[in-house]
Amino acid sequence: MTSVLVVDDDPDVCDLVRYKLEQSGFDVRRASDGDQALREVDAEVPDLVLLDIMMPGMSGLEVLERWRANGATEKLPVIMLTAKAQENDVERGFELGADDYVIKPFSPRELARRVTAVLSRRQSA
Amino acid sequence: MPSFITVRFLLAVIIIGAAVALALLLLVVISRTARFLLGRRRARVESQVRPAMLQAIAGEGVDAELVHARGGRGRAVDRLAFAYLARVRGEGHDLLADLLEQRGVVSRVIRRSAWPGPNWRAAAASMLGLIASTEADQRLQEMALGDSSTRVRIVAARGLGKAGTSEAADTLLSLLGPVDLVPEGIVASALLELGPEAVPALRQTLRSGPGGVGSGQPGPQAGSGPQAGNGHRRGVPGQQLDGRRRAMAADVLGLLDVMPAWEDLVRCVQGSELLVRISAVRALGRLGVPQAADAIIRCLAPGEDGALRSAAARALGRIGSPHSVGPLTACLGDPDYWVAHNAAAALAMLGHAGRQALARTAAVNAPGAPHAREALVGARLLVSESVREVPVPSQSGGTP
Amino acid sequence: MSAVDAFVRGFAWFSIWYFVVLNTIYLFLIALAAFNAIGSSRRTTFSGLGEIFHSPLAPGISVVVPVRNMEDLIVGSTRGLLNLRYPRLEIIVVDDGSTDGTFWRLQDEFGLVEVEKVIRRELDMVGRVFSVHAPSSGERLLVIRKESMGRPADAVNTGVNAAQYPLICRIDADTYLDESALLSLAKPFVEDPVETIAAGATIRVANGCVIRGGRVVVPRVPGGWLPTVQAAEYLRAFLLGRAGWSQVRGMLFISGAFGLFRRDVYELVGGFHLYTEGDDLEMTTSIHHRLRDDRRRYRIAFVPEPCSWTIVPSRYKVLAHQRARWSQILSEALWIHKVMLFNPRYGGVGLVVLPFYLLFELIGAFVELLAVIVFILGWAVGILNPAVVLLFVAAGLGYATFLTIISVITEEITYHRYGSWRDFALLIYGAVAENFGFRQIYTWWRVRGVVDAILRRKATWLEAPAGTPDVTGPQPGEPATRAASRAGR
Repeated sequence: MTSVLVVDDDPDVCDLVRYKLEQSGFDVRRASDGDQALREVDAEVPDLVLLDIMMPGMSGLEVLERWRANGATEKLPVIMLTAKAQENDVERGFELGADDYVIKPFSPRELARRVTAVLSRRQSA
Repeated sequence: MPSFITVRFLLAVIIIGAAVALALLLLVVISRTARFLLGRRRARVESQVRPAMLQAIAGEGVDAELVHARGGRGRAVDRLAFAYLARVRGEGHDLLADLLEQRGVVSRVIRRSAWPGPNWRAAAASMLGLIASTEADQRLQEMALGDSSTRVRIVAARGLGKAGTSEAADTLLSLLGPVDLVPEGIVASALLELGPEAVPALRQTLRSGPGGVGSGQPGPQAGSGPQAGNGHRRGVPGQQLDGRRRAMAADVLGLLDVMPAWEDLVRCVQGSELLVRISAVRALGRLGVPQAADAIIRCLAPGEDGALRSAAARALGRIGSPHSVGPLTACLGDPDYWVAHNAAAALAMLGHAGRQALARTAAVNAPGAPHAREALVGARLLVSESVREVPVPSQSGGTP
Repeated sequence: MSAVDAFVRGFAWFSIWYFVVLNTIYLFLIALAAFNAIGSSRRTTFSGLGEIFHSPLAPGISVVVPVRNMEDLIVGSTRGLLNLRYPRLEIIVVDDGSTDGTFWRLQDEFGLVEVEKVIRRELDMVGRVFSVHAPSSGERLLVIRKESMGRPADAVNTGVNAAQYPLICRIDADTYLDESALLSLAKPFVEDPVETIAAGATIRVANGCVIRGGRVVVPRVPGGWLPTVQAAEYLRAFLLGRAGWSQVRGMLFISGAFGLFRRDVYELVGGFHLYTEGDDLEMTTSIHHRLRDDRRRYRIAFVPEPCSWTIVPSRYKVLAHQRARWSQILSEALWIHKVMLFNPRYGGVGLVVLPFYLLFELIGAFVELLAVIVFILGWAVGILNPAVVLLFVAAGLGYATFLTIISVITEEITYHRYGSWRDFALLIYGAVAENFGFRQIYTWWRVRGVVDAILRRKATWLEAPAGTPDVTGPQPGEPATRAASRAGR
């Protein structure tokens, strides 16, 4: 089964994303901060990560930077979760090699669609 | 010694004091326990309701249980529904708003929005903002215009920003008057939040100006930097009020990326009200309109206000027109720190020609040399940065 | 009855009344503040902080951190500041001649490289700027290394001169901010950009808390006599000193570790006096002074939500030094702005707040010290009968304990930051323990601070051009280098 890691400090968001993606047939794990996300990925590299940018402690961008610097996770598909008007963060995220972004508040259906789209793009590439 | 100081009096004072303190402590112990028990119960009930709620938001059908839940369960449903209203949009949001409508929560909140306590009314306004239905929007407009408490009006105005109707935009703009019903900053961010719906009203406001008649008054701290508070005095009549509104409209249009407004904005730059000119220059910079470069370059003239000149320098950097290299270079040695600083930063953004101009100024010991060097070093940092991340063809011209 | 008897009795009654009046004023302020805190804690759900965060209209903030020899703390706290939730932010660390590894730690952590920076001369600076550094990663951090002038004011002024945003937050490296602290503090500026010129916030004790990544993750009350007492004391002090006064428009003074000011106002009053500590208390006094002179309408806002945490000294000697310094800062501020005292031109500030500080904080320190001595001796010798002594204990210590307990309870029903029963019990213990031992020692430190101020002032005065320095007047000292020079190191 395709596995997805959701990283967000807001448990409500995690719950919803997890529910929606599980309904769409993904295996979903979650992490509530950057450190935990790094550990989860170290333990087992998922097929895709949904990464919140603004988190307490390490920011999502830092997490992404570390993944990109590491051979095993260099190509890990990442979709950023960001708040509205954080254009700088989005830009920086794309520079770091993020695949797509979803703006919060988000539409669950659109989120699921983007996850599928990124995954199929990666497969065909 | 005064006669009232008897041992009994003293004892009484001390005992009463101690008793009050103890009673308060006891109260805290009770409220703490209650808080804990209540919190635990809430969490339990919420975890029971949550699966049905997630299912509803994900668009897989609304459980009848959610609609009919009452008591503690009902409150848990409402709490979760509001929590998720703030987190989702699109279909999920509409489903939640419908659910609350069916549960009778919307009409309850509307009733609450007329209660005597301002905190209740503010809470109701923020809920209405989340619900964002036509009915809620209607009530929010009334509240923003008519509530007696500023705090409530602020919350209502912010709610209108989420409502997303063009009517809300008109209401928001009318909140600014001789005496602002809601602070200007709140109105501006609400308009921004409204997005495309606000554009017609904003463009209307921008065009409504006196156009070249009369003179704008500089703000209280004009000239104190590129982003120094763009606030303007309150309680100013007629012309100035109009200028204030138009300045805000210009700023918001820029932030909303409304390209079609550029000609109106250029006209504002050529106008005479300082505040409007500054905001229009800023907006054109954000939009990056090359056709506006000449009008903005004229704002760099030494006779112009410092705040306008520094805003113009900054905007020219964003527009990136090659014409601006000369005028910006001339500003490098300006006595106004912000003009020189922004000019240097702008030149660094103007590609090869801009960097060469900086390098030339930095090489000779001209007055603008420190600014030029600062900008060059900063630019080099950024370049090396992007080289590291995305392979860019080398040749980062200009840097010595 | 001898003259000594008469003096002792008379002073005994005077000091009893003194404490009754003082504590009743405190009670009044605490009631005001508690009322306000309850209202504001109910409003947090719709305060709209998230919206400020998403708003491109939020004014940018330059955080200025003066540091000297803080190698253990600096990396964590800088990291914490860089990760604050705020849309436009820059961090300026001013290394005031550190002799330890402060700078090198920063350089290693953030990959600093030397850059050019034109530093303005808006505010007076004396210490030479050696070099300016920025991270190669493009993060919004600036590290300025400069020659130390012994007091932080010069470092703060230098930092403000290098700042590019319209709001300045001056913060100590041993203070931790909550993630949304700047959003809370910037809110008054967004809502009323014209009149709001400064905002202050509630500060709590960070000792004992679980701190991760420069952030207080789990607030806890520290154990140990001094830290526990201070934890309770901070609760009370912020409730009454700041929140209480802020209920009366235009009377607030921001002091200590965390405040936000408009840069143009900093520049208007000419920054800090170079021979001072560079404390926000002095800045607020200058602002009141200048803006009332200019007859401008202004507002100093107060944010009652606790959002910053500071490390308090747990060692006796360090604490003694810190407290004496506070007293000295207050004395100096009052001295510099003495024309404001009892002057109706300065409204509530001149007629109420400053006289209050003068009478109850400065002169009060001497009164309280003398009172303790008189009561102990008077009782021992037998001039004062036990009933009067008991009354004194009730008015001075019992009443004060009561006030602190009220503060603890207010925290409990409003923000409720401390979760466990252990914390609650410790706070109550601190509230009581403060009045038996700590308070008396503190009185002694206050007296020492005032004396320090008087003595040291003479030394500084000699260099000052005039007896009464003008708030915006020129300061002695050689001009600093205009741009970052490559000299030094």
